[in-house]
Amino acid sequence: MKTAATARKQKISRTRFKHCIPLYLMFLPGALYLIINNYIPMGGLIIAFKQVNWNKGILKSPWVGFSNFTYLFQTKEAWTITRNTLAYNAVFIILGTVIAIAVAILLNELRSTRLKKTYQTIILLPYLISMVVVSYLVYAMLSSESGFINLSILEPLGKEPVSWYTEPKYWPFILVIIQVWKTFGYNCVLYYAVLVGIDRGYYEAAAIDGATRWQQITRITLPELVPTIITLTLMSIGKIFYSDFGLFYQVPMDSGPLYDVTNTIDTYVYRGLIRLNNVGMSSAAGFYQSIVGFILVLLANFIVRKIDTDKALF
Amino acid sequence: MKRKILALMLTASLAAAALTGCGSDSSGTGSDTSAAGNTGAETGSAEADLKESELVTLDVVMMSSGKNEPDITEVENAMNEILEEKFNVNVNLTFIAYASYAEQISLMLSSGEGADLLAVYLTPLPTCASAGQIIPLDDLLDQYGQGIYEQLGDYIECGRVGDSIYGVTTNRDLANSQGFAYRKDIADEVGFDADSIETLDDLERELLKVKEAYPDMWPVAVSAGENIRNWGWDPLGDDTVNLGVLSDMAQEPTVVNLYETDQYKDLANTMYSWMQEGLIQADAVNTTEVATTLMTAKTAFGYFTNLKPGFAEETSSSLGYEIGVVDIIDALGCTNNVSRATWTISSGCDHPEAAMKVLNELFTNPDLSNLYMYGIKGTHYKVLEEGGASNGQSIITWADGLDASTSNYRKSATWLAPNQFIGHVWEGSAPDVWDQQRAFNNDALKSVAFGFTYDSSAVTNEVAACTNVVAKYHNALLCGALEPESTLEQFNQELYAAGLQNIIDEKQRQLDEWLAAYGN
Amino acid sequence: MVENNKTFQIVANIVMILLTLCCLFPFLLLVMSSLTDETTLIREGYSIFPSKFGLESYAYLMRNVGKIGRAYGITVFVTIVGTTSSMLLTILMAYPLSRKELYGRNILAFFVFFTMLFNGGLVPTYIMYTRYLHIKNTMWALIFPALLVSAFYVIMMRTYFTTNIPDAVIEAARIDGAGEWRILFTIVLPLSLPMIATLALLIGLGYWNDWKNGLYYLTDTRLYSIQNMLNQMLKDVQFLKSGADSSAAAELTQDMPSVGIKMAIAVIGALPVMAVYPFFQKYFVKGITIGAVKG
Repeated sequence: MKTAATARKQKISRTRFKHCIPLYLMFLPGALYLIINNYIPMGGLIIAFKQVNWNKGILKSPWVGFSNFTYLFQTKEAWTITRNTLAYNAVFIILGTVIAIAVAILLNELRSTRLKKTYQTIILLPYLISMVVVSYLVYAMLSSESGFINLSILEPLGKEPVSWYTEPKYWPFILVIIQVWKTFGYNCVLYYAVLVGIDRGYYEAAAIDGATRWQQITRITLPELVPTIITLTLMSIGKIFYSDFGLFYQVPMDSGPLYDVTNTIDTYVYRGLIRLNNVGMSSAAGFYQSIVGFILVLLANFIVRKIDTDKALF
Repeated sequence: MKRKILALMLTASLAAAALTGCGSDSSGTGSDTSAAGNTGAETGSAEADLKESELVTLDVVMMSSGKNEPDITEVENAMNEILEEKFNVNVNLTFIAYASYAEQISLMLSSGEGADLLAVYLTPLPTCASAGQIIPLDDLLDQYGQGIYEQLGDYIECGRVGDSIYGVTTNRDLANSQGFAYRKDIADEVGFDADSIETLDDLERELLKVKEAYPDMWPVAVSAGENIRNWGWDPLGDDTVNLGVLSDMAQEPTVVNLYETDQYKDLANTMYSWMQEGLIQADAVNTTEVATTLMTAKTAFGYFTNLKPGFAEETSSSLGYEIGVVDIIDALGCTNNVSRATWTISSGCDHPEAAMKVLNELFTNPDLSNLYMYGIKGTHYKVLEEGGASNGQSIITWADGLDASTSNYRKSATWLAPNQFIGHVWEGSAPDVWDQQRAFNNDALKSVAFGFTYDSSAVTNEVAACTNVVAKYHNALLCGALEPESTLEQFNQELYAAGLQNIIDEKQRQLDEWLAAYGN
Repeated sequence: MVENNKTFQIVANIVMILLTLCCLFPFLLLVMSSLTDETTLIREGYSIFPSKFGLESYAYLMRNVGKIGRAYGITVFVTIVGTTSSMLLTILMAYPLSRKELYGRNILAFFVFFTMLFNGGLVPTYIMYTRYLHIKNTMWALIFPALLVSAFYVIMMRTYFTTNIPDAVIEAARIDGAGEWRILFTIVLPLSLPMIATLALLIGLGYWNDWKNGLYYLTDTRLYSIQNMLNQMLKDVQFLKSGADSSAAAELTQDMPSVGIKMAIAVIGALPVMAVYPFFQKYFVKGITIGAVKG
């Protein structure tokens, strides 16, 4: 009896498996790509623990433990780059989310669909261009001799021109503005998409109950957005140790006096290593970023799960 | 299931890594110099037959200006005709754009892919050597490189890392004098008296004349944020960062921190006061333009640069207006000027002897060298004066109807080709420009550490950290953008915090050892 | 209430107009500076109303139409081929993951998700592509590495399928005897147009704006895309800083396009995406119902 049941179960699972074959076939090409592009190169992470001698090949090179990592933690710079990377990302996440949601709500409250569409189109434009192009735009604005801000804003106001690319105090703001400028449109559309999906009936009922517009927003709109906010934030936290190389390297034109506020882990590693030609170190940095990101995601997810299981990412 | 997938992935990645290892390993015989030497000894007896037993194709990698070079194949064929007859070797030429050269070479060397014979430029030679990316050349040079020895003389020593020579420099301006280049037309107009200039103070006096006559023009323009690279010190391998140098024309073998020397302090102070006087371009630190662009637009007068014989002629002809120069710091020969650009054989090369034969031929055979540098006669260049150059070669220029932007194989970075001194002379340069440069190299004052190559691998962490600190202050200070009094102190503090003392100690130790072994 | 509402609409519109101006302004400056006379640009700086216009930047582009047109063609080709194949692979990968009866679904989903967290770094990837797949200096170098399948997009697509395609529809088709391939292409995909358009835009954007692949896997500049050219011009300047000696600097300077030309290339590199985007827009909002990109 028991064996018959197991046999049947096996049979079912076998037919189920058979049924799935076309699905596996579909999955296969993409999986092959991920194996080639992502999984096999992951084997290269061992480089982080080796002093590579290309004569011997990676596997036969001597192990050096964590010595490739020390330079990441060794100096005052280590603190600066970690602080910059984390702080900028934190501000990007918080400010980016707040502004995107505010604009999304504003858009949603507008009546004219035509205008809505136009606004949406335009605020997304900055998202469409590459950081390389952005650095040209920024240079046109900030160049101290020929830039728009110095010549067309500060000069007519009778103010002294600012040497933007040598004054670190402005750059935390500049970088945040650029990043928000470039991405808020996209994030806004993400949230807006959710807002559009909310049943208008809720608002009508609330209006009948005498709820103000503000109350409608805080009681109905925001709660509906929470799952999206959590998902997007979790994903950003996973990348909190990474920085956009274009934003931190090309946009400030690699200007020395700004390093205190523009140096991040990625740019530090790049600057130190393009000259030193040392693969071990750059692998170590990559490994460090991946591990910390991984742990942070797990941690954040764990916390979210504690609060509300349904809203966790996995 | 999960475990199986994991196991599969692990195996796959290990297999890939193992393959990589084997790949480099099998070709690694090249690094075993005795093996290379032996093969040489077998074939090299008496009248050496230099031919390879079967046709060998070598990948030869060099830099070019990033233009398209559609006619590479034709040039390859012409070169192969010579090489095949002599050595049974073919070459496959690759040219990489300036801007991505460092990255590309790093990647190529790190992956053991592609290049056999390649010019290492800017990537520090010692790091390539210590990572086993390139092979020692001593035995190969003894066997097949006589011509290189003859052509380079003492300068070959600068390719030494530890006990072996890893890189062979190219024949170009191997010493540097420092000075100022300017628009001749404006100088004549405002009475800029170049002959009276011997020091920076003299230069300042003359530049003020320019400032007075043309208040809207910058007397000193800066290229991409760098005003002065070197002002008479030997950076001991750290060319742009100067971590531990021999200061004041490098005649004393004591390694010092450049940024604490009076030499540097004076220079920074001078530049700062120039900036205050409006002599230096205001946005010097962050400009993305190069000085000559501003000069062409007549918004700048001149710029600091290193000089060599023929500099003014060369620059004038490329800019289209006349350039004058003032020499301020005498020529100094330092190892890093020489080893900055060297030819090497990668450890991935399966036929190191063949590679050395080709390199030697490029050093000694004018026909081959001319093909490599200038392309095919009649197609890419034409001869203006047969035998007009002092080395017996011709004076040449673009072929009819062509120029730098239309030629399909253009003259580019010829100073990185192994030996431009045996080749043609381009129109506009003096017929004896190569002899002048050779004399310049030979006559230059040599640093006491000339020939010493420093290996930074013991202090990599410190170098990475200090490089970041230097990038923060150094260029800005020499552009006059930062106030030296307070900045220098902070700068030095940060340098020592980043481990500069370890670098200096290490350099001093290596230098002392080297002096004991090779010094005179 | 109505009065209040009207003021609100006006204020809201003003805020939005200001925002859109902020978004548009830098582009306007870019376009204007590419249209400014070269000497004026250097002497008087960037301005919305330059004192003297000039078309020499574009004239330069026209003169170099061989080189720039080629780079443009490559960008277009790579974007089209890359986006199409990427879409195909992404859809094929996402669909099985959306099917509850798929045996081992969670493991496969994790297999995809994991690639978002770890990567092997540049050098191992480079070795893989150049030594084993030999894509260096081929058009594949711009299409294949890094961009072809992104775990993020697979998960987005998967979520769309699970939340928007009712199981009953698929079940019904199966009972009618349709195979998985037919179900996917004749039933699921037509229902997923908004998401497909959205992903096509995002992936296309990725290809259009990419310069890293060209930097790593191309030495032959004839295969450069527009973004590679722009990046190259930025890097040329950085190269001068990195310790190039005077001979190199002199030669490079000679080749370096002036500011106006750089701006003009930036304009033609950015405009087409902006022009194409509005056509995708009507799907965009619908597509991005990543009510959650839940993994």
